[in-house]
Parts: sequence; structure tokens; C-alpha cells
Amino acid sequence: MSYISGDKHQNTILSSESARLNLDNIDLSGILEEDSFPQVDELLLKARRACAVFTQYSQEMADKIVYAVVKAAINHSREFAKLAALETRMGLYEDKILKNIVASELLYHQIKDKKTVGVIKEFKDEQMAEVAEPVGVIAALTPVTNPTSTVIYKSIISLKTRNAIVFSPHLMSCKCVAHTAEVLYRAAIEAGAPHGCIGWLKRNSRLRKQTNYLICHKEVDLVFATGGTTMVKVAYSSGKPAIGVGAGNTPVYIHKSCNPVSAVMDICISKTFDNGTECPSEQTIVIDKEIHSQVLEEFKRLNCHICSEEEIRKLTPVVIDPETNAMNYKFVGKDAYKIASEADIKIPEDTKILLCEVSSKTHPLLKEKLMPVLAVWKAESEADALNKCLQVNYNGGTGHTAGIFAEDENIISKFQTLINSGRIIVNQPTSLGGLGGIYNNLSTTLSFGCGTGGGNSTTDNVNIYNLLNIKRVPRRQAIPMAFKTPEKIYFDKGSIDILKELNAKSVCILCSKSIKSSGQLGKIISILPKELRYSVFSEIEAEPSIDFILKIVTQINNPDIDYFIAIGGGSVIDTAKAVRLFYEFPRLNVEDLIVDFIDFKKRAVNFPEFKKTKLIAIPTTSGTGSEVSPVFVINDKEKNRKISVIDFKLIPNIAIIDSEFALSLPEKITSSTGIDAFTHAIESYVSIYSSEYTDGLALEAINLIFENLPKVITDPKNKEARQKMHNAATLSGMAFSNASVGINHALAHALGAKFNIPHGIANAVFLLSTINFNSGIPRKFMPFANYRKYIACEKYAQLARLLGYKGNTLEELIAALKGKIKDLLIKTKLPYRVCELGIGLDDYLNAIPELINKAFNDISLRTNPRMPLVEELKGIFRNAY
Amino acid sequence: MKTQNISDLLQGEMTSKKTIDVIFNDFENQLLDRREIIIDLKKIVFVSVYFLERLEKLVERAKNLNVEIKIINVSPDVYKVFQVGRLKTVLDVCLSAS
Repeated sequence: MSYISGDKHQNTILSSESARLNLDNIDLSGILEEDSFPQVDELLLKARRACAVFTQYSQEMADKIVYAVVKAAINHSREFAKLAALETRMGLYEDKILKNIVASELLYHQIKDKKTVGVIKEFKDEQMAEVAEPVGVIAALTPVTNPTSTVIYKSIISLKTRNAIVFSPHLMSCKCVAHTAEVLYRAAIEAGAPHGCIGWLKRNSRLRKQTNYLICHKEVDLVFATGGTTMVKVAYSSGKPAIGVGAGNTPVYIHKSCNPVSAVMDICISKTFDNGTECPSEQTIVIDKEIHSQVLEEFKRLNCHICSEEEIRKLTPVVIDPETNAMNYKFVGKDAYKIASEADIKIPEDTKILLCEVSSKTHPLLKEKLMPVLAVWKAESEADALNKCLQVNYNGGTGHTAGIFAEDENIISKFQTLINSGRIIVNQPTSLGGLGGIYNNLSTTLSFGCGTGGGNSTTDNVNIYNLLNIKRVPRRQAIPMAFKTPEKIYFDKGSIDILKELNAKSVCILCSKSIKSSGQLGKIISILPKELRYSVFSEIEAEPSIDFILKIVTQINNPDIDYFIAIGGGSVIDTAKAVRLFYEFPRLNVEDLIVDFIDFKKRAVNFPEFKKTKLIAIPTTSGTGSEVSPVFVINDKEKNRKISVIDFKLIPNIAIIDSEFALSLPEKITSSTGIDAFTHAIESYVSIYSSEYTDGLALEAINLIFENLPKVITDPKNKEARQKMHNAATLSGMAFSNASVGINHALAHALGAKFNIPHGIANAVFLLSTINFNSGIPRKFMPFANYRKYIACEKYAQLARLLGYKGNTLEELIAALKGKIKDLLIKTKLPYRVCELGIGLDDYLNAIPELINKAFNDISLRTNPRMPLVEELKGIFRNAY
Repeated sequence: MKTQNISDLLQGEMTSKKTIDVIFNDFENQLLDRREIIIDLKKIVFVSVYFLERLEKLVERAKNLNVEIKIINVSPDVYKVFQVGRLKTVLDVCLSAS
């Protein structure tokens, strides 16, 4: 590899990327073994200590240092510019001053009030804070095109973020980089910065190897590389976290809706800035045919030269090296006159830009040219223009910068959607626009992230936030709980009379055959206002299927229904909920409503809002709680499964809890539904979603059931006990509707489905083993922000105390509670072990894997206080036999 | 008496090179006639790069001379400096954070 200078007779010309850092043919393996550079070790050791000491600095101390460094940079900006222009022989002294000012004054203006120490941002709604942590020791690679301004910019953002930085300059800019870094370092030290906070490699014959050694060094925390593609690759290959930002190829669309005079002036400003060395500068302009001539005339008027075909032929090999097929580095940052002279083109000395019309997408001049040479591509239409911009964008410029001049917002919108660039500069010069802070509010930078398109990790204008490890500190956020019930609950004997006042036009009544034959349906119809139109579906089956529901919906054939009235047990009320849903939303797909969830409030299902109808639920059993619950269960016969559809919108609007409708309930149904209500209450009481609101309901329901369930079993016509049981079922229904249930239900669902056991009875056989399980110290707790302490055992004990038991220990109280429950089960002739259900031991043991699988996937488990492991479920099932 | 003086100096912000030299020169002298040196950083609230350099050298020298050094009552802020600075030898002799 050869050293590059401006002398055309002495040098081998390198490709654009490799020339930026002389990093061709790098083999990073074995660097540390082959070479050792004690001076690099020493620099990094100092930097390490500096960033350690920096951790103690306050925001004020960091800001004081930054101010001192900015001041020094501004004061020395001319000197730095002169050194850079002389050493690199690229660009314009006058513009390099401006670059240094941008990197100091404008950058400072943007960052001076920004927080980079301690809490830097607070998100009050999310109850989260962001806290800054410096990244540590930074190895910074600087480009030859912007050597001093890059050192200024990187030093300032490094000090602002309390990092230490060590620069490795391009070989052609060692002196100006070293001098700039030294001036800034002195200013920083005088302002109180820790020694070693800025370091730099000096020019020497082994600089390239030292750079490799530096970026792979164990003391380096971050590689921050600005330069060409090769440098970026090297940075990312170092094995260190890296910010590598590199080459571009900026397309600019001059749309027919723009102001051509303004556009041309902006492009002149941009493309001549530091003789075109800024990588966001315009490389190809794509002009709509309608304004093509006008734009070129304006360029001419501003002393730009439109090359003839012959001139383009001569200029192309000067600008794009035919051997490397990349820009000729010898002419990077040279003025138009020098470049034209090299191509034997005669133009005035003050010519600003050489414009070359191209017509083929393979033309060499469509590549990046960091010099005042601009490709011009005429577009026949907007689509043609966009395609041409994409051609440039995706051939060397992906992710970097693009520009558009237009007043038409639609084309701007289309352009920004299509083009893949970190910066899309609208109606501004792309070079100065890309720098940020002059024409817009982009972060002021000398490092332009190109995203993955450019092989980079960011599309940012790299800034202070890229040099911080941002620590997120979220506070525990308990979920606000809600308590939802029907709008109205009418209860006690005679409450059914409220239907006399029903303000409705057309109702649809759903009930079972037995309700009709018992005369209960007739009673209700007789209560309804005379002018009310009604229709009746009296053949609702137990555990209805989807097809059955849809059949009813089809048969209703009345668009004016404003109330559904469900009279019956859980299946009838569930059917009414489903019929109402599909009546209002016939196109609903049930699969869209049953997406699994772990947190009800964050689930993916978007449930529709009822607008036309209301639902009145009149339970005739005392147990399911469906009259107040947000769920319905239906059978999917095709897939042999039960579907639970859950949403608070499903809660009936009115519940009428009149025990007159439960007086004739058979004993078996009385006991099994009664124990279902009991299970709802006790499970909701220990659920992780339980609250003071649900606990009160659960406790009262438990009390009522203990007292009244045995009474209605022995005296089914005991009206008072019936009403108490009816009320208890609704109370526990409201409790579990808001606090959910737990493992008892998961086990019962599995057993019931496998052996066709009525739900209440299946619940009964797991009551004692559930209490055993939840009373122990869990191997796994159930995570939930609102559940701060494992209190299941204490709640069981509290329940025992409320039932009148006394005990010295939790164990004694829980044992007493279990005794009381067992006693209830015996009194109500219900089983308390699986073996009492007539299931053979072998059949049961063989079914356990299937039972575990079903129970483990049951949503009820999610709110149980103790999370069961599969092995534990196996134990519970076995012990329950 | 001498120990008392050093203890008085070991407080606040350790930024003065002169003070740091006095402190560590004294500790270095103690290396010659002591089997154990306890450095109490209870009152230190800020340490400079120079302090770290002298401390690291002292600990390494003590190790070579078989003198046991114990650093006690290190504040979390200073302990973090040792951690970020990767001062392994120093961290090895820190007993606990205050």
C-alpha cells in the first residue's frame, strides 16, 4: 500500500474506501501476538483511569469541561483548518473553518443543556427513568476528509458523556489531528478533566498496525469509526462494540414543483462546500424533464460548467479510476478547475461545479465523487425519477443521505418512503443539511450513521446519546384494577316483577324445554308489558355448539330486537350471551375471540362493543354465576373442544336473582351447582387478582353456602335457604368474574372433559387437594405486579377464623377449614375424592398425562397464587384419587 | 502521631498532587517497617487519576515486600472508580464498602 499525496507523479492511487484509512488487507487475527505497542498500552491505561475517575463527575463538572473545550476549538478553528488543508491537500481552508465551527459552536448549542449525567430522561406515565452510564474508553478513527472537525466533534461529545477517547488519525492527517487533540486536551485538563481523557496516536511508520492493535485492545470499550466502507468493516470486525459510519452516494431529486433557482443555489453551496469532501453532498441530481433545461441554465448562470459528451468522456476516467472503479482519490477535495485541467477541459478558473449528463444506469459517474463533479440524470416522469434515485441510493449510498427539492408534499412523502437513507434532506443543501444545526434541527455531527444498508449499527447523526449506556429504571407498576358487574341486579323473591317495567319494543327469550314445561316461561311472558313483541327459543340444549348458536341467530329473523332474556342455568345464559354477540356481529369469527392470553388487560383480542341489544339473565340454578360473569362456554364439536369466550362486555346488563325459579331444582343439581359456587368463592378469595372488593363477596358467599346448602339439600322447599343460596351464587359469581379462579378449576375442567363429570362435582373432588397445594411454600410463585406477598395460607386461615375456628398456628386453622369443607361435602352427598366418582384406578392413572396437559394449559391456572410445575400437577392428581 | 497526620489528610477530594504525595510517601516509608498497613478511605469522597496511580503502585510494592495492605471503608462511589478502572490489585485488598 502506498502513501497518498497530492503529487500525481509519485503515487499509487487507492480506492476511495481503502484510501480513507489505509486499512486494506487487514488480518485482525494474531495482531496482539505479532505486535506489541507499549505506547498504545500506556495511552489506553491512562484513558482507562480517566474514565474511571470521570464516573465521579457531576453534570456541572462535565459541562464546565465541555465549555472550555468548545471555547478552545472556536478560538483555534482557523489554525486547525489551515493545518488540515495544508497536510491533507484536500478541500478549502475557508470551508474547513466553518466545519470546525459547526463541530464546536453549533454542536455546543445543541448539547449544552442536554443531560448526560444521572437521570437524563423521565417517563412519568410509564414510571420509568433513563440513567446515563458512560461507555468507557473509546477508540476513535478519523477520516482524512474532515480530520480536525472530527476530532473536535468526537472530543466534545466524549467529554460531555464522561468518556475517555483515543484518536487514530488517517496517515495523511496525523499532524493536524495530533495538534487539535492536544489543544483540546489541554483545555479540558485546565477545566478539571481527568488526566488521560483525550489521547492520540502519533505519526509513525507503524501507524496502521498500531490502529489495528488499538481497536482490538482489551482496554477499549467502543470503536467509533468515521470513514469508508473498509474502515467500517474493520471497526465491526474488531470484536468490540462499534459505531462505524461510512461512505455514501447521495441522489437528489429536483421535482418539477420546486423552485429551481433556489434548488440550484443550494446545490452550489453544498457541492462546493470544502470542494465536495462532505460525504452527504450531492452526487447525482435527477431532474424532471419539465424543468430540466431551466435547471441547467441556472447552473450555467451561476458559473457551473455543463460538460459536453466529449468532455464527459475525457473527465470520467479522471474522476472514476478505471482500475478500481471507484472515485479517484487524487482529486478528492480539489476544485473544478484543477479537475477539468487534468481532463484537458478548458473552463474559467472560477467554475464552481462540473455537471455531466448521464443516460445509462451503469455510467461510472453515478458513483460517489467527493469533489465538485455532479452527475445529471433527466427523468421522463415521477416514477422514472424515483427509480433513478433508487438506482443511485442502492448503489453505494444505501442508508446514508438523499435529498429532494419539491413543494409537492405527495412526492416528498413518496420519496421518503422509498429511499433508504438515514437523512432525507428536503429543500436544503444535503452536505450542510446533513451536518445538522445549520439548516435544520438534526443532531450536529461529523459521523453519519447509514443503518444496516451501509453496514452500520445506526442511522443516527451520531451524537451524545450514542456514547452512553442508557440504563432504564422501571418502577414496579401495579395494574389499576376494576370491578365490573351488571348495571342492575334485582334480588329476592318477587324481583322478577321488575320485568313489568321493561322499556323494550322487541325481546327474544331463550330457555330450556324444562323451563317451558314447568310453566316458568309462561309466568315470565305474563309479566312482560302487553305491547311488547317477543319471540321464544325454548329448546336450548346443555353445552350448546357453535352451529347451534348460529342456527338460532339465523332463525331470529328480526332486526329490531332490543333485549335478550335468558331464563335457565349456565348453558342457557351462556347461549344467550353467544346469540346476542353473533346477532349483533354476524361476521365475527369465533377464532378471533379466543386468542390465548396471560394478562386479561393486555390480550390481543379486540372485542366489539354492543350497540343495539341488552341482556337480562334470570338464573334458575344457584351456582354458575353466569348471570353476572363475562364469559360463555360453547362446544366446538368439529374440533372436539370447549371454547371459552371472555370479555367484560359479555356481562349481562340486568340480573334477576329470584329464587322462585330455583325452588324445583333437583337435589343433585342443587348440590353440584352449590359446590361450584363455593369453589368460585374460595378460589377467587386466594386468587392473585383478589382484592378487597372481591374478598367481601367471596367471604359472604362462603358463609351463606356453608349455612344454607345443607339446608336446601335436606329441605328443598326452604324458600329462605333457596334465596340465600341464589344470592350466594351471584355473589361468588361477581367475585370470580373480577378475581378469576385457580388451579381447582383447571383440574376440574380436565377431569370433567375426560370422564364426563358434571362441573360442580369435578370441582368438589379437588377442593381439599387444592387447599393443600396452595397452603405450602410454592416452588414457583405466580408473577403479578399487584401480588406482593404470598398470602394464600394466611387467607385460608383467616377464612377459618371467620367461620369461628380458633387455632394457634396456620396449620391448625387450615386443617379446621378442610374439615369443615369435607363435612359440607358429606352433608350435601358430594364426593371429596376422585375414587368416589366410579373411575377405576388404572383408567385414572393412564389418563393422568392427558389430564396434566389439559390442566396445565387451562387459563384458570394463571391466577392461582402458586404456579404448579408439571410434576406437581401429577402429584395433585394422584393424591386426589 | 504520624499516622494521625496521614489520617487527617485522607479526607475529602483527593485532587492535590502535593497532598497525595505526602500521603503515599508516608505509606511507602511504612512499608519498610510494618507487616500490615490499613488505609481507611472513610472520609474520601473523590479520587483523582494521580491518586489511583499512587495507590496501585503502593499496593503492588507492598505485595512485593510481603506487607499486607488492607483498604477499608471505601465508599460506593470510590469503589465504582476502582471497578471501572479495573484496578484488580487494589480491589483485591479492599475489605468492604462503607
